[in-house]
Amino acid sequence: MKYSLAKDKPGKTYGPYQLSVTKKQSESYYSSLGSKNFNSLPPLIYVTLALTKLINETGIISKDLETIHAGQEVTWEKPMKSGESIVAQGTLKSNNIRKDIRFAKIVVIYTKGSVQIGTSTTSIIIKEKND
Amino acid sequence: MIETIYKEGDKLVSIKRKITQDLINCYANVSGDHNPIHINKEYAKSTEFGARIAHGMLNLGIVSEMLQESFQEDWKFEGQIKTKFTAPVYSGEVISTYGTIISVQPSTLIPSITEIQCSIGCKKENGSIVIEGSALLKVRT
Repeated sequence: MKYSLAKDKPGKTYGPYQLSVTKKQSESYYSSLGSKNFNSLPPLIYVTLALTKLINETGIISKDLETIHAGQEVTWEKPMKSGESIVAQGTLKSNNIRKDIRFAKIVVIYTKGSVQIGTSTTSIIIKEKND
Repeated sequence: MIETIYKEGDKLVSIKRKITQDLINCYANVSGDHNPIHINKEYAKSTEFGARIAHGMLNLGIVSEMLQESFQEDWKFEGQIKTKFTAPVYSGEVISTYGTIISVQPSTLIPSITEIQCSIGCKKENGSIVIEGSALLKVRT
């Protein structure tokens, strides 16, 4: 089964995704890291949520694929608070195959209202198990 | 030079943590990332990794926690992380984060902001590096 990223070209956009994190979700996130520090909202939580939505839209997680998260860049320009509504919009920056392995890079821009508050760049490596 | 409490060469607060399968399952539920390579023992056996591995973002979350512990409120306002995931972390392995302040300089654009550049990473008990990269913190003084 072909996943959508296999045919997507650079410039293809994903989302927009509406993201909001409650205080309880933030605490669950910290717990899932094994942390007991629940005092603040890390910018990474929004990247995590956007990444999951990207994974679902691009179809890159399945038993026919070995998908590896190879790298992550995150930049934020404003603090993020619980309950804020943030919009994430992804764009495929590169998508190449070398020796039957796909290398893709997706950039996500995060905005609050009309203000950009951050970006993330996710590098993914995909190997198809059953061709 | 703007005065800050941060100095070149300072080590960041290291965090050591065992990445249990319970933690990986919990992270899968919170993030919604149910890639079978993280949670399905039989599937993971069939991959080149041979066993279940932690999400890269779980490990990076612990690196971010180190930055937060080290810089407290200063960490939240403006910053940047650039990392590569260089090796898998298997269920049950123990990882430790590490980081060092490389430079402390006033921003060339906004002098009231101090830019703090750090090398950051995460390694296993056997010394193999699982995350390596850099962080840039912008502190208002």
